[in-house]
Amino acid sequence: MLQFWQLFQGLYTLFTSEPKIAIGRVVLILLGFLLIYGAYKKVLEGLIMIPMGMGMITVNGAFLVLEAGKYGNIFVDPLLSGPTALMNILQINFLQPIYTFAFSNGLIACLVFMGIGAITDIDYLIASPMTSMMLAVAAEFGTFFTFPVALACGLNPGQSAAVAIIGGADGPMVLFTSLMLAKDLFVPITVVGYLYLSLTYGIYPFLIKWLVPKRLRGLEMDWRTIPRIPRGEKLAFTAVAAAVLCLLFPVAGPLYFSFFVGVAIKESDLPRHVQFLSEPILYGSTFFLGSLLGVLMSADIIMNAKVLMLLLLGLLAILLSGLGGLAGGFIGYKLTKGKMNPLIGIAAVSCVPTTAKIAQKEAFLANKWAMILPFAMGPNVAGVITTSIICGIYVTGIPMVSKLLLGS
Amino acid sequence: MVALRGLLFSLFTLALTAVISLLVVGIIMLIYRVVRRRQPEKTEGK
Repeated sequence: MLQFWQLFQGLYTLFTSEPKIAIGRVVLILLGFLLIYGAYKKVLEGLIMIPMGMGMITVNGAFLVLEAGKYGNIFVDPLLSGPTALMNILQINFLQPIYTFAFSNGLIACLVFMGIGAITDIDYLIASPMTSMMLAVAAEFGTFFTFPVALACGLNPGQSAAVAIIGGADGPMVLFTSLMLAKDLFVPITVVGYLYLSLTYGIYPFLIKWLVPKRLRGLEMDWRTIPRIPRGEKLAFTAVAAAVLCLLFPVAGPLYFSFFVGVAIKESDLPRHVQFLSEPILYGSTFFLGSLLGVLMSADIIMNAKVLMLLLLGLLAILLSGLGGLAGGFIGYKLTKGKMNPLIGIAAVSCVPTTAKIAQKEAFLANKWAMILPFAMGPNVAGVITTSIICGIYVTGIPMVSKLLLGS
Repeated sequence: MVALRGLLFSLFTLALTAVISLLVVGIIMLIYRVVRRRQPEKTEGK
């Protein structure tokens, strides 16, 4: 009888593995269904959540008995190290080549950033740099203040920095920081990070409705007041900013290159390159990113005692950043004597272009004549720059002050 | 104590981020001036 059940190894392993893993698999399969439903209902970002949900359902269903009676899957093994083991597994796990050659070295994050750069409009950032950058600093509140909380929760400085940067709401930065500073928690931190970035669609509208009165949400701004910035000026800014930031934080150089090369291509009037970066590169890498995140949510990998803590810290980071952004928006509203819609502040949380779209949608729901998207894109892009600055400070500075922070 | 040291590091990060952000603002302003100063010369040339 037992041998008959062994034919259906997904079920066999479910009933014969340790209860913690078995329950984890069932919960993760149900969570996969929930993500797909959320994406279908447009509460979550479908581009990431559909492949992620499918990945979670299939990887947790498809457990089988591997060599030496060990349970696992033939999708991907992120914990492998050593060239021989890696070479052997590359011929078995079907997503292993993408994980090994594009995910675990940050390439996929850089590809996403190139695509984002190619669709990013930096006009308002150039037209109003002080407002954009200061709003972006305010919207990093979650990044700054989750760090000490994470340290107090017992995470080491590298892990604390990696989870805190979720507050910057830039997936590639989360991936990059956790890769550099918290390799042991790379998978759960990245998964938690992307989960919350996608959940901004669900969380921030409630935060906005709760904190900003309808009269202010629907405040109109005249987008015709934004001056037309010459392409040459935008291109010059892109090249100089990339050079300066690389001189300051070489360790975040790949991210700076990726983002600014996308912007430079866009501003150089190269339509075929823009199309290449913004369509196959951006959509292709986002699809594989979502798929890999899904299959990494395998019960045997994700059932880590620290995951619940990471979930709470990630939520804290993204909520505090949203609050910081809105606070910045209110300050801007007061300083401009009521000319600036405070919702622009939440766009500074970055997550290009999601939070800018959320700000526009909420403004439109309050007043169908409120067109704030062109203004929101300035702080939105500035948010990428500030997150990359913090990423650079963390990646360079944390190894230097790690002992000092722990008092040893 | 660890949290307090972490908070101090966060405040340092905040200050440094603000300073570098101002540097980015400065770059934008500088480029704005250089580009705008060159534009009238071009018009005169025409």
